[in-house]
Formats: sequence, structure tokens, C-alpha cells
Amino acid sequence: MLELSVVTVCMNRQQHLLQTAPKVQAWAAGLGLAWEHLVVDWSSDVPIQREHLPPGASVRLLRVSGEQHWSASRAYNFGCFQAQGERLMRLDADCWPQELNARMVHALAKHQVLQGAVNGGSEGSWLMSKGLFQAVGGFHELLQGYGCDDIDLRARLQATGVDVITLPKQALGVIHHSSAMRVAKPVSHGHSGFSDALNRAWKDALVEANRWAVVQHPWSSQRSRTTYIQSLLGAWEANVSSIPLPSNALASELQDIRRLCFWSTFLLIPARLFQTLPRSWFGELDGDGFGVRRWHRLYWHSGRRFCLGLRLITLKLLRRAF
Amino acid sequence: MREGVRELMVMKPCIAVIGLPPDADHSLEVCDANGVAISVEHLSFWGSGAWMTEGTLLGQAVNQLVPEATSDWILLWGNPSGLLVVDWAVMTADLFCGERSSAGGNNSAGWLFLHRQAFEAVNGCHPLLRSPSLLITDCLGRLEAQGMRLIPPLHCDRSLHCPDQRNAIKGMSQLASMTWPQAVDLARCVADLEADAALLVSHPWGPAQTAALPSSLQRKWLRIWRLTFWSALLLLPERIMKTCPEPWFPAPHQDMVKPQPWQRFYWRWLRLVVSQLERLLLSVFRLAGGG
Repeated sequence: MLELSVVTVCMNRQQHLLQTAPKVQAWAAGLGLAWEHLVVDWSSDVPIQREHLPPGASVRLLRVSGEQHWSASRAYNFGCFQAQGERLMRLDADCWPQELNARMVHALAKHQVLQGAVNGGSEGSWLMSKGLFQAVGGFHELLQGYGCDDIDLRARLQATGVDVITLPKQALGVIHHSSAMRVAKPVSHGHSGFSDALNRAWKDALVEANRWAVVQHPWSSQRSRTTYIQSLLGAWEANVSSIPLPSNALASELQDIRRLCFWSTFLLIPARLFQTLPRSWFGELDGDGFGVRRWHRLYWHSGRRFCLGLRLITLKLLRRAF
Repeated sequence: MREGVRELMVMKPCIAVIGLPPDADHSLEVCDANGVAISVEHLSFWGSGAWMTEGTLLGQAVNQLVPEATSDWILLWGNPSGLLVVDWAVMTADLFCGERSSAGGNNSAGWLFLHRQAFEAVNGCHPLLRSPSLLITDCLGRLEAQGMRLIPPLHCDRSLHCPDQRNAIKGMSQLASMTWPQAVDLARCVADLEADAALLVSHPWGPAQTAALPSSLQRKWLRIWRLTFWSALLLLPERIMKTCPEPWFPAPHQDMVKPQPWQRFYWRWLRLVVSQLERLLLSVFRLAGGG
């Protein structure tokens, strides 16, 4: 059995993966352990080619086809349960071990988890024994898109008495990038304040809904995970009937939360006020986004700023008057 | 196991209800499938408000009361009244009945009916939660996550609504007709819910979990509570609270938050004016932008 499996999943993030994969290989080769780097191509539009990754039998490429949307939880569960190492290391496509020395890896006890520094961009990365990962059921598979998966996994591990050790910031290197990439959204509006705000609101909406999914439907090893079937061509495909789905009530609640969070963050409309506005004014999340229309864009540029300024001035004057 | 539990139920058809105590106007009835009333033992922490003033949180109070119950079947039921019909013949320790707090039309706070063994298997209620609806939701979710099965009751009738919901506000008229104490209460409930949801994600209850919140999570809880409370009370976007100095919109101190006179004035005279103006502006932009 291998001693270490580094697992990386990727959906349309080849430009990062191709930079980090050689660094991962160089680091792992110096550990003195039997290792593998398992790269999962989560239905990238342009499939990752094996020859673009570093050569050698230690690098394994698995492709999951047929996935329409990014799901970090399901993708990492697939990778981690396919991994053959006693220890698992999750490394996102934009991360690589920088100052993580062999001693830290060797010294890892069975009840310990090494985790990337919080707020350093690498907080989602970790190293732990495969047994620990399996004992808590892996990642929460109801979570969609981006966010909350790492916090949820860490919290469930801690609740069972696992010791989570946070690595120094320099331990893992990170390629910094935009929110659009985090939500696996094609950047269609160019790099501007508007598109940044749009992507941030989108990201916040996904995180908020995922947080609520964790609250309503806590994950454990008792929950059933997605199963996958390998085709003759080698690619894997999810057994659709096995994909965990929220109940209708929860699904509709999550959709409402995404909608509320997106629009109230994007247009700075107070949440309580948003709930009183006609539903038809604001779209819901579908495959392409939240249906931002021309008037939303106009409002974002002017009306939003006016209302924010008006509130700020009113509060300042009022506070001074009292 | 199944036979043992059945025998116990035949000998001792009694359940402990933890929630509001009955009074002259309210009563709770629990029946089996044949309509036979089941005797009920009431254990309550509400009414006097003692658990609040002594700093005991709701989950801690429930966890303290359960060992006092003489029955093996526990019903967490916030209402002082209602009717619950369960099929005793099928109930075992690995089955439970209940309802999550509903964000739908009825805004119910949820309820839970389970065997004492099941309650103990999930280490009881989360002791750090303030939101009653999340207390039930969390407990119910952990029971499911342990592999226990939720079954529907034969009948359930509850009358009390709970404001402890994300969508507690239904329209501008409701906002306008609220009194100051009602608005503060509602904002507090919404803030409790949001902050507790974040707490549940970062600090779920489990066998090795500590009941003392790490300082980083305590700060996070307070930050979310502060942002949500003032946003809900004064109808402000959270960005305002992030822009203004923190003392303008302080976090609660010892579970208390005291709005200033200028905030009350803003709430009374300006909050709805600014909101109506914003609504009007949105309508104008919508018409001008082609809908």
C-alpha cells in the first residue's frame, strides 16, 4: 500500500494545475515515501491530457465525465475514495507544498490533521490518515459549487476528538485568483468592479446555501455517497440515482437562500427589505447564473450607490444630532 | 431490543414533554393510533425565564431536564398546546418522529419525539444554541446522521408560530405595523438564527466536542449576530455595518444589546422612508431598463 496520496481535483483550472503539478511531484519525491498524485478531471470542457502532467507512474489521472456543475465535495470524495495511500492530502489545483517538510508529514499521528493556514488561501488543503477521512464519511455531498466543504469536514473531525493542527502560512504556496474561478464560472464580463461584485455575490450565495445545507442535513459515514461506474474508455461517470439530493423542502429553501444572498449582496438591498419586493424582479440561480438584467446593472452602477450614500449620511447626521 | 421497548411501553405509557407548561387556556394531548390518550409528564424551563437570566442556554436546559424525566420517551414540544398522534406499536429506539423548523407558510419551530437512548446516542442537544428552531433541527439532523430513521406521526396539530425564521417578514405592511419591542425581538431571533447556523457548521455537537466555544468562533458568532441584528432591526444592508465604526452598531454584551436613542429615532421615522425610497428607485430603474 502507498504511504501518501495527494489528491487534486480540477474543473477547467488547467492553467493552475499545470503550474502546480510539477512542484507537487518535486516535493513528494523528496519525502522518502511511496506516494501518488491523483488528479481528478471533473468534466473539464477540454479534458486534461496525461502528457501535460509530469511524467512517471506516481501521477494518476482519472476523468469523471458527464458532470454539468462544479461540486468540490463530490469531486474530492471521488478522488479520496479512489486513492490508495494510507495518508491523504487534499491539494487544490492552485496549491503546492512550499515549506512543508518531510518531518511534519512523517510525524503526523493517526488522530491528527494538518490543515492549511486560515485566510491564506490554502485553508481547504489538509493531510490526514485515510481512516479518519472515511470515519466521518468524507465531504458533505449535498454541498453545491464552492464553499463550506472544508469548514464542515474540519468541524466534524474535531467533534470526534481529532486534533487539527494549522500549518504556518508559508507551508503551502497558493496562486491567487478571482472569485469567478472559485465558483467555476466563465468570466464573461471582463475584469471590472461590476464583474468582481457579481462573482463575489455569486460566491457568497453558494457559501451561504451550503452553510444552511450543513445545518439542515449534517453529514456522516451513515449517509450514502455517490457511486461511479467506469466506462470502457476509462472515464468514470456518476450513477445518477446514487447522487444525494436534498428533500424538496430543503432544495427550495436553499434556492431561496441563494437568491436572497446573491441579490442583497450584489445590489446592497437589506435582506428584510428584499423579502418584501416582488419575486419577479429578481431571478433565481439556474445553470447560467441569477439572470442579471440591464436594469440591475444600471442600478448597480448608480441607484445602489445613491441608497448606500443616503443611508450613511442619514445615520451620520442623526448620530451627531443626538 | 424491539420487544423490550414494546413491553416497557405497555407497562408505562408515559412520555415526558419538555417545553412550555400547560395553563388554563392550553393543553397538549398525545394519543396512540387507537385514540387512547397517553399520560404526559411535563417538564418545563419556560415561563419564569429563569434559564435566560441565569445564563443557561436552551440546549443546556433540555439536557439537564431529560435525566429528570421518569419516562423513556421524550417529546420536545415548544407549544403549550396541540395534538400529537403517534403509532406506539411501531416505535422503537432507532425510530423517531419530528419536524424541522419550517421556513414555509406556518413558521413552525419544529418538534421531536424520541427514545431516551436515541437522545443519549447523539449526546443530547447542542448546549450552545440560542435559536429554538435550530435546536430541534440540529438534533433531528444528528439523529438521521447516526442512521436513525424519521417516521411521520399519524397526526400533528400545533398552533403556536415561531418568529425564529429567515422569512419571518412577509411584507412592508408587516414591517410598518410593528412596535419597537416586537421589532427588537424579531431582530434578535433572526440574529440568533444566523449566528447559530454559523456556529453549527464550525462547532457541531459530538461526543468529543467541548461546550466552551473557542475565542475565534466566539468572535465569529458575535460578528454575525451584530451584522444580522442591526440589519434586521434598522433595515440596513450589512455593508453599512462593515463601513461604520463598530461602536455605532455594537455586538451584544452579556446577551444584551441596548439600542441608542438615535437608532430608535431612525427606526421610528426614517427606516421605512429610506426603504420605500429604495423600493421606488428599484421600480424606476426596472421600468427604465426595460423590466
